[in-house]
Amino acid sequence: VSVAAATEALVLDGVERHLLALGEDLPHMRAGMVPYLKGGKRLRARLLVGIGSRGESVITERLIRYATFVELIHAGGLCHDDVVDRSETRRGAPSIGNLYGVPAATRGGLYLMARAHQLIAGDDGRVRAWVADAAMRVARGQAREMTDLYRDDMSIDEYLRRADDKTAALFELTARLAALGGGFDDREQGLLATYGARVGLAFQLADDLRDVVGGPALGRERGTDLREGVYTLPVILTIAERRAGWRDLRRAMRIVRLHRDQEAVDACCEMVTSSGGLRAAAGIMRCHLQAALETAQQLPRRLRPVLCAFAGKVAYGLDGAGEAPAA
Amino acid sequence: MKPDADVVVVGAGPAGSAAATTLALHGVSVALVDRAWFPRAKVCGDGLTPRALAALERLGAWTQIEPHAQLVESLRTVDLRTGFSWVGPIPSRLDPQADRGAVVRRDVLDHALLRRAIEVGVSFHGGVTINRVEQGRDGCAVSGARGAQHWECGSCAVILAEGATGRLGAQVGASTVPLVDGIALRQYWRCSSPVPPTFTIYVPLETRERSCAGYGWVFPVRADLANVGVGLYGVRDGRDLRAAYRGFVERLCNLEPEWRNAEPCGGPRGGVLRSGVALSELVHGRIVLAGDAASVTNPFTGEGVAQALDSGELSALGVLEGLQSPGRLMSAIVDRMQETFPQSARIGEQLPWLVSRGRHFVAEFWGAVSPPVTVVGRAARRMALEENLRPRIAETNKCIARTWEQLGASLKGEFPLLTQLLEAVRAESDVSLDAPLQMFWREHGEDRVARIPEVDHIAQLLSLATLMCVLAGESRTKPNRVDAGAALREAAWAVDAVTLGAADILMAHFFAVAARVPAAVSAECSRALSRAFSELCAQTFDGCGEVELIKALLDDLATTFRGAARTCVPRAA
Repeated sequence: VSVAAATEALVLDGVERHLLALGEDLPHMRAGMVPYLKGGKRLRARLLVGIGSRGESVITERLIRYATFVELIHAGGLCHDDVVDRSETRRGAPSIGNLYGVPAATRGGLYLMARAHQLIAGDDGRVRAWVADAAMRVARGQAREMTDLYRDDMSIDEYLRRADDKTAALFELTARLAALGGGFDDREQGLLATYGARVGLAFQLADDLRDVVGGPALGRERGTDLREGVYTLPVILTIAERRAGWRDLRRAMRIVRLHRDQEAVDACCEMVTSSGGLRAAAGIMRCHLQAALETAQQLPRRLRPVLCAFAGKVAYGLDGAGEAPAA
Repeated sequence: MKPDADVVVVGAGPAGSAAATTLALHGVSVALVDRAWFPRAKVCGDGLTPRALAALERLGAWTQIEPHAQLVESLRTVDLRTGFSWVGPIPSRLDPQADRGAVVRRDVLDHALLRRAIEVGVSFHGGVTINRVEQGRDGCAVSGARGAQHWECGSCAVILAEGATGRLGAQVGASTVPLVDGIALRQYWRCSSPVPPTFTIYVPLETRERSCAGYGWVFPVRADLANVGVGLYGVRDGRDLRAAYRGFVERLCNLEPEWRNAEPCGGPRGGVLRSGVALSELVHGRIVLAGDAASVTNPFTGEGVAQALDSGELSALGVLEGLQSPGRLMSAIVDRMQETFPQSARIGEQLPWLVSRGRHFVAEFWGAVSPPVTVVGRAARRMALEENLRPRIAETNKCIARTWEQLGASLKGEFPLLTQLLEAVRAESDVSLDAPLQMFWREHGEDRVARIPEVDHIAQLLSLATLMCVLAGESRTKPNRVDAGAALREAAWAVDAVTLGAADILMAHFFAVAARVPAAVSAECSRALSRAFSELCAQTFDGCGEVELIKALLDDLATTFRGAARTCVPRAA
């Protein structure tokens, strides 16, 4: 275990250095790039090395490369997301689009993605194909989120497929690359990919729940997704299942769409909660977490603490989400 | 029930008359009903695009209309804030050569179309208000009143072309909520100096407190008479409309002093726009909706006459097919509409978000005076104008054409709108997107190398890299965006979001194609791409010749990719 921990530290350090060096290559944009390259939670890199460092034949160089890749591709996506989501800040600093304008964000994001690709461009065709598949799913999920804006007639399946593309694909890839860097066999690699996909989907759904719950405890405003027309699982589910008050919810959502007023946004969140939609969505999220943990049970014992700890972090701040607030 | 006519057409506006004429020309007996007697006035910009003129020719009505028409040969867009203007061709999706439009007052146009219908055998019933449309197993019954007198007619099918405010559509089960709605106001002005023979569009407009999506227009009815008006989207309050109109006229007088001597001819009159046609809402049993009743008005330009004529004609052709084989009516109409009304016209169906935030797109399309701001903005505008994209792109080289085709084919299934957008980008870009491929294929031309899959893949990588560079490169924000109103900001956001979404998909696609070439080639191409973006990033702050830089970057990319491709070609013995 101490060897694994040492490898982990070594790899994470390597990732940080790699990412910072990359920022130096863009002297003009360094200040704007820093929040994207530094100071994140490194969820994906940590998951990757956590798994990878516990393999049979660890190749540290590969782990550093792959972990840098997943962080970098994620960072490139964030540069673009911040423009689309109109986020003015990123990790406490101004977002790149806010600081330098949209063209810089467009170019900077593409640059990071191209640099990410460079890290795996010389790998064998299989790795490149996985990476391409994940990138395509993320892009597709995002495009679909855009074309689905304000769509209130989505089915639950449709929504889950989109979330699976948008968010879970990268976690699935992360777990796959971890398996490769750690020298896991094919069966383990398949299981790890499944674990990644499930925990990744739960991660997105947990984020959806937090949007409806909101509040200072979670450090976020309530219903920002809803206000921007991104209808997430609790909302979709309330309408799709025709839960109590769904018609009123739909009406309130139209008001939000026209006037973007926060009072109506809060009202929508209340309706989603009181209809039981929030609780049902939390149930779906827990289902996927549970499934991820079951997959973890089929993997070598030494991996379980890592996999369980990661799954445990996904639902932070959501204890009892969906319960009607005490009167 | 014995039918009194094969088909009853309700409403004798452009859609109704076009439908009736088309049916009668095919030997079908038609009763055309309208609550008015003709000629009658109609609120409209009176502008006819090349697409409308083509439809009038097909109906055989143009020769009667031409003597009353003021021909127009260009489109001028004016920025009301700065007075800066830009002249371009009139949008036309049918034929890039056809750039002639016309202005004909709607009382004259509609009357001429009706006369043409009567001439080919349509029986017209004026002054009849229809209040019931029923359908049974064998046919339809349309009933109403002419004055105090009951009026009734049986038929096999009904075409409802009752306009934007009709209520019969709701009666037969059509959705009454248009996806995109707008309001417009127009007034005729007598001018002392000649009105230029051009469609002039003025942006941006302001309502009481904010700028909004829409535009003002001046269309020449005669040399001394102009149709002046404003159209707005997303505004329901008539006071906003009137305020926008007053503000527009005032600004017009400041900007173009000759307007100070112009005199109004009658008061301003308002009307409603209905856009965002939904194919699923067009056919209800034996009843077909056409024209404004089917919300065919273009959601971006507010152009409706051409769309109404086309939709009337298509409904008639669909009904003809349906008369022969009942049960096929729905698919006959939907297929035809799908072909003629491109995805962009039905954009409300595709992208509900455009309906809310995105209705501000309209501001981008007209607001982007001068060669508009970003390449995607221009491409989106081209799509929104329902222009045909293909004919403008000269396919000079078979290999280049093949590369684009392969790329289109691999994207089309999943991203049909993106494929259209990229074609429009190809047509709109200031940089030739074909040039790098030309350079690439010069060496790997068809006669020198039999098709080696890897070479085709590398060519696709080059086309993807080219597109990304152009999307990212031609995205500079114009300084005047800063003080732009809310509508323009929203429009800019929508264009940015589309640009980024497209760029991400292209990048993912680059990854996918790169997975299919040898590792060394993949690494080489990847390095070249990083280099190109790094230079673009650096250039963001230099502000020097953008187009030149992109051209140079594309040259470098082409050279590198060509070199990489060389390694895939087996050496001759």
